[in-house]
Amino acid sequence: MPKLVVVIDDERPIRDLVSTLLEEEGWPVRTYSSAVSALGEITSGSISPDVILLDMRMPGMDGPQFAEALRAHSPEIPIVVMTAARDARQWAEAISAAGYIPKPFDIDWVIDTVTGVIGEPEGSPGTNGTSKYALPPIPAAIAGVRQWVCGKRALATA
Amino acid sequence: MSAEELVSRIAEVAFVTLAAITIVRAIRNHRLVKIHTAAFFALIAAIMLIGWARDLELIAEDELKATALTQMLLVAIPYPLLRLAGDFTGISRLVRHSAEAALLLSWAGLAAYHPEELPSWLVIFIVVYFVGTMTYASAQFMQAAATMRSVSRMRMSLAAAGSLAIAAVIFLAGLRTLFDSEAFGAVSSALVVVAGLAYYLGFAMPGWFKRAIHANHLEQFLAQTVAAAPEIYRDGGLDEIESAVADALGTPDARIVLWNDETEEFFAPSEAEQRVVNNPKSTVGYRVIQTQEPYFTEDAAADDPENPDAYEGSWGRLVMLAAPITLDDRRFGLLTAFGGLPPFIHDDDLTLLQVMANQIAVILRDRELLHEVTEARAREETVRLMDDFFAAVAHDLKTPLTTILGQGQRLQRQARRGQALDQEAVESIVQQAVHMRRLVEDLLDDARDRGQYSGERVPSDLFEIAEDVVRQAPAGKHDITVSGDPAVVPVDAERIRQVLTNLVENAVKYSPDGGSISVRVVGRTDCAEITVADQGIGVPPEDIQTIFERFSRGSREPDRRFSGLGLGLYTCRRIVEEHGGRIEVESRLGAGSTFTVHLPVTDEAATGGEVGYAQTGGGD
Repeated sequence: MPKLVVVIDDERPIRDLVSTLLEEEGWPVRTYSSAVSALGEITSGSISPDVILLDMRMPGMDGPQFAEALRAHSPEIPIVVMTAARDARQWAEAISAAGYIPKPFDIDWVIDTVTGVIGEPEGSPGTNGTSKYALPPIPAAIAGVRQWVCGKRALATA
Repeated sequence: MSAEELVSRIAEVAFVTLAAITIVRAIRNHRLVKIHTAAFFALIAAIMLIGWARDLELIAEDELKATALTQMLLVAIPYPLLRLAGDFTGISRLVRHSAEAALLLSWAGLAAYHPEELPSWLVIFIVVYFVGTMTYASAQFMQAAATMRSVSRMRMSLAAAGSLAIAAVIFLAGLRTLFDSEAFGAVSSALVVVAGLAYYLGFAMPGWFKRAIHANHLEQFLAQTVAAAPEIYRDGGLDEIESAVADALGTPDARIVLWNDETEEFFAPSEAEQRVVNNPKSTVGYRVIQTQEPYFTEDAAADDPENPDAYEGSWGRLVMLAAPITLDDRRFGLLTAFGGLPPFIHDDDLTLLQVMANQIAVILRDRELLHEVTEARAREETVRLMDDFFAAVAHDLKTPLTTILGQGQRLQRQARRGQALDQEAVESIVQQAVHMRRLVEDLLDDARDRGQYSGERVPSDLFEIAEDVVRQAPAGKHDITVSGDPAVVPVDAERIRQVLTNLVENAVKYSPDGGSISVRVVGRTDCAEITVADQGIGVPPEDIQTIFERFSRGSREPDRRFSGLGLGLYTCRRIVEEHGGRIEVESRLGAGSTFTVHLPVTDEAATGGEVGYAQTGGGD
């Protein structure tokens, strides 16, 4: 069964971007504009995500509140913090996330981070004719190092 | 010795003592006022001494000469008193010369006749001259008393009372020569005692008596300073304290002069009240600041020959007491008490003045510290608000930038791989770039000023604007409808378009896919209303109060909640207020929000506005 990626972000353009990006890589993606509706579907068992890309700053239930509620129900689901806040890494640490994606991001960072947490999408490598991301699955801790390297690159090209 | 005699003796001793005290003072200090005082009491004492000599039969052979001398001295008494009164209030030359002429005539009369056989007309003349002059002097003392305060006023009044009593004694003595009666003697003795006591307290007030009065005034001063403390740096905040100081010392006036240690200048605590008395470095005040020693002068102008103008006033010669207001090393300024003429201010009042200056220093220091703490808190708050503001701005800008960068990289990759470019990505980039441009413009508007949220207003149809905004909105999977009627209102159309765009975008953003959004325009007689209603997630009740604020003031805790929604709604509110209208929100959590913009129909009404907050329902 393919691994499911859930994206929660109140900004439609960002939801669209991230879901398109990850779907192109071969992951099935579900997007939610509010944390409340996502939480409802998870707790009712309608969906069973393998990773959740979570925006922090949202009206209504925000990222940290969602994380707390999710942990109470399904502590095993890894969360990746996706935020425009200055201290993205601290936000991730604060909720014991598996990774973080600071906005604005390089698309490689998103793909690498998801790969780091849940491994290669099924059917890869080679679905997109490139072996660039065809790396063996890496644990979240190592993913952090890779993210850091990507972060440097993002700064250098900014 | 009878009781009456004893009382007379006591009064006599009092006058002789007073003469001794005042003569010593006059020798120490040659001021005219001291010489006049000494002369007055010396005359009375001389008469007393002759009486004693006569009683002790030291001058039995010269009984007649003694009587003649006593008479000569007696008629001279009013003259120094008149001059003394003149030292306080100033008397006309005519009065002075008349008194001099009357005195000479009296002396001539006394010399011409046998001392025990004076003609009635001479006695009457002398009594009239004596009583008239004494009464006049007394009136002058009363007048001087009216211009003074507390101790000084009391002392002046006592001088007036003593003078009246002496006048009464002589008046009775005159009557006695005409109608001999025992009663006169007793009344006279009593009056002499009254005069002696009044003069004693007036001209040589004992220290303990003065201190008792001071203690009373000092209490009032302390109460006054505590009461005035919170207002001390306001306009007129020092007035009450100054008045209490003047009361305590009995000076006509007292003043607190503040000192700026950095510029080495006296300064005014408020614009309205220029307390800069004098700045030149030779001034008395400057000297006290430098030496940090209390200072007393009976003639300030003489002590500061370079700035005689600085001490000019209605008082003529300026008597001045000054004490530094200093706490530890902090020099706050000067406390001065001053006035013209009165000999009642002495250097022994400096101790009292310094005590009060120290108390004022404590209060000034207290206020200064409080002020510093308040300022530091305000600075911290400003820094905190700036942090919040930049965080909110950065967040708002990063959101569209994320889409632009991400979609751009996708296109880049597609181009590299020779794939067909994703048209939706291109659309998204352009849309987000436009959104970002608007954010930057809002930000610049906000930074440029705090009051230019609308330009020229021309009659525009709000309905047309609404239709236009909805046509261009990124509807996505939403159903947006416009209803209502044309409503032509004088507005800055571009700005109102901005408000509506913002509201519609928010509605889209916070509505689930397929949700309906309705924009409605209603024209009324006095105002036009535009409502934007959605069926989205709604605004949490705790955020409704701050939704139109510039940026949220969320707590600084690590688990703070995101309540700020950026600059958008703040800008809307400012634009609407600039138009003299108001913006309101009604919201039910989970059921949707309705934003209502009220705009006045006439330009005249567009002078100001306020934000209205409304809230219905809520829920968890």
